[in-house]
Amino acid sequence: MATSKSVTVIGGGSFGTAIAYLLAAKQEKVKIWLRDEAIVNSINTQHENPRYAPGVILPSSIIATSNLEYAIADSSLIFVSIPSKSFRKVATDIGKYVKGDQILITTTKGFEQDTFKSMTELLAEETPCLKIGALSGPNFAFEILSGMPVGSVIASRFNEVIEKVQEALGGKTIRIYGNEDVCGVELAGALKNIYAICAGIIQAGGFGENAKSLMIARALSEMSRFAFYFKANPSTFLGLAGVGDLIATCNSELSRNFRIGRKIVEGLSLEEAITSIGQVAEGVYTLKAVKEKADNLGIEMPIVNATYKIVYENQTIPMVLEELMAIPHKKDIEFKFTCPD
Amino acid sequence: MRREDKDKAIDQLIEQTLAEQKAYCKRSKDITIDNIIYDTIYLEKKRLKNKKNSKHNRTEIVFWSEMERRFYSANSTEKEEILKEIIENYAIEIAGGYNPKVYNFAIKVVPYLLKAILVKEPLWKLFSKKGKEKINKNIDISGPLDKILHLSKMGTLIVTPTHQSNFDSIVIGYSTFITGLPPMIYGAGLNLFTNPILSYMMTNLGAYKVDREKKNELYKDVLKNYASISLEYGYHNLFYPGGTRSRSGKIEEQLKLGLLGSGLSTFIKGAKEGKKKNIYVVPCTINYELCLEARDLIEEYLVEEGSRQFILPNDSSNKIKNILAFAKKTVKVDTRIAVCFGEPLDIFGNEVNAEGVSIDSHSRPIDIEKYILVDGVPDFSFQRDRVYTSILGNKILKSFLKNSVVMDTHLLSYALFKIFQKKYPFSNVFKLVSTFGAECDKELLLETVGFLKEILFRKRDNGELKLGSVISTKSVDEIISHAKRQLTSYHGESVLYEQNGLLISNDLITLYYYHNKLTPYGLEKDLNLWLHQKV
Repeated sequence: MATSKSVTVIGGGSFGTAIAYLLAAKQEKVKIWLRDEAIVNSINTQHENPRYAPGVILPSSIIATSNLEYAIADSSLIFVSIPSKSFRKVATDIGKYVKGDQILITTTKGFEQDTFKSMTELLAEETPCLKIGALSGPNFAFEILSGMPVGSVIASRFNEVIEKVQEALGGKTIRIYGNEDVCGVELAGALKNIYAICAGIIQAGGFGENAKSLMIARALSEMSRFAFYFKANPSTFLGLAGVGDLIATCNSELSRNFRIGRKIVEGLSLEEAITSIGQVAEGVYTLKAVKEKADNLGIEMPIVNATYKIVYENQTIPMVLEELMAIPHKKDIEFKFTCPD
Repeated sequence: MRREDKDKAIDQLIEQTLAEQKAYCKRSKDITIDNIIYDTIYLEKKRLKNKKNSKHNRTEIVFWSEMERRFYSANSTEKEEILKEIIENYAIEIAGGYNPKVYNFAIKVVPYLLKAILVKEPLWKLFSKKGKEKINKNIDISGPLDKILHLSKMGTLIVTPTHQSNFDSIVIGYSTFITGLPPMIYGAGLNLFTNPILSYMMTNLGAYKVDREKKNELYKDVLKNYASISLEYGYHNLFYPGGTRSRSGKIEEQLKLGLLGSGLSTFIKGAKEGKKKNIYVVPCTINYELCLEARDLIEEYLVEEGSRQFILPNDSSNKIKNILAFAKKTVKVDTRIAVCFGEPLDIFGNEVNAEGVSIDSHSRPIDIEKYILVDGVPDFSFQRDRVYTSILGNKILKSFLKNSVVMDTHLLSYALFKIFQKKYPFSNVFKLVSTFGAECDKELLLETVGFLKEILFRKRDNGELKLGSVISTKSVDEIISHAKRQLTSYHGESVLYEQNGLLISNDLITLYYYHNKLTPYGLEKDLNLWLHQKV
């Protein structure tokens, strides 16, 4: 890989801005690409992203641009932080300017709606790059930008990718753990958004902490069951990208997906809830994609089904809850991990 | 390899493997030269313990006993010498030869040999002109052949076929010859070299010896390096990336990456020396309407997978009788074979264009040398290169699926087997295949085949698979009749016969083998829903 002069973040939403903020602690130059010229100007002159990180002063080493070719030139490490809905389009554009030896990291937690492909798969399909990874974990942008301690997982089949990301991002406030199970980490990151919506519904519906814990624990089983079908490692779900992210997102108002759930209980329609959040809540799209996939493959996912009925079919919460509680009793632990002799 | 290259290549093989082993020990905290030698001697002695007392085996026992004796009293320099001798022993055993005269003679005989196996003609007609036309009719060769031929002139090919039958090597040899592709060197099982005449032919056709009983890592490294050096010398290679024949009848789901990685090694070595090597990987599927070893293969698979749930029927007691029956049947069957070459790939799994340039999914050129840079210069990186080879392996598997040709026998067997699964709800497939006398209504079979045919046509149009000529051109009724005739003419009446308007099978094992070809294509859910209304 050529000696790099900068690192790049594609996407200037709240998480893209947070990643650029973290990178700036160690890198001489961080380029951030976004379409909105007003925000580009604000970052370059006022050092602030007024829409997605208002009030946070960004380091002057962060340079914003709306020119993708310039953003990618000279960068050996590129983070892609784009909503799943427009991810493929942007990945195709990235493919025009990368040469194949750059490292590409997705931070997006979701699937492509029509194909159910993960973001790393889209990067592999649309660009000539092979060294690809996914960053995941309990990472609220607001807390990162406030300088609070945080942990993330970088998943890649290439050790080099894991090491480079650890080197570029790891610092006083962030610990980066490596994992080779890219599929497991991406599935965990995407699936937990569904359960965050469900947690928002439970919280706002006043069903109590016991119910929420029950949902979280069973969600973990459900996620592992789903991931097992895709040959992911179930033990990945016991790490930061799985249980770590699930705990954070199911318990915090900072989670957009959690807020979607709450707003639905408050009587807003799905469209109204999305509009009131003002940012993309990936869980809404993931819920639909996972429901279809699980039905298609015959994978039992009662919490996904219940959440789908409330969010997309306008069924009442008491009715759905009654159905959920009537499911035959099961074993607590579904997966057995073999202990070495 | 040609005689003039062979000695030089063997010397290079020994030096390269020795240097790699020493570098490996230097890198690793846990592995020493002592470990490598000891592990190799131990595994070789273990292998030889169960072998019969032949001259070759006795020579081997003497060699390994001598190595062991010297090892215990050797100092570090002497241990290095022992390691070198072991590598040399393997290198000489593996290295094959290639004689263009023998190749040209043998390749002319192959069509007639194939004809003897596949075409239903009396022996005296085998050498006629008409017979030759008929063989061309029975083997359908497709794919981007002009492009592959052009690439073979611009670089070195690694052809990677699926592996279903022992006849694969003959079929692929014939296919490359008839399409004008260049000769290839390939690894052949050591057992084929025991007969002196066959051994002479194999060696001069370009085969090198692969002893699958040798499981030690050092042997595998020598083998991989041999393939790599032969590519370096510009010899086109043929590997079966699945390793052995598919026992289940399924298309390969996993590949052995060892030999496949030799292309990348050659490429990196060339780049380090400033000599660019163009290496192109050509996936290829070989598809049989009838697989001559179907029954043996599927039994092996069922015994291995089904454990105690599958009890092998007692029908293989008389081996000689079976072999004679096999030989007799082979000359009677008039069967079809489809060889389908896929789009050529580079060693990273990218497609290449007609000029041999690697391209991405939008046909944009890729400079693949950038993939192998370490701190700005081309170099090996063990972990990175292993992942690259695995990416290539996945692309080959995708090509296998896309270019696999579904034949009438697969379709009939799939339909029948699924009807039986629905009708006889055994807890698992091993119990079902052990059953005797499953029956099905003829009308239901017609409808089921028709239903599946429509789905297969859609999948073919989407580029998910290929269809054989019988499925593509014949009516449902004709497909069933043709497939039934094929299966029963070779595997016997018990596979499928008609009685009182019902179709009865007493050989679900054979049906299961052919059915497996269609399992990766996701037909089951739709078919089960459909059958739910019918059965």
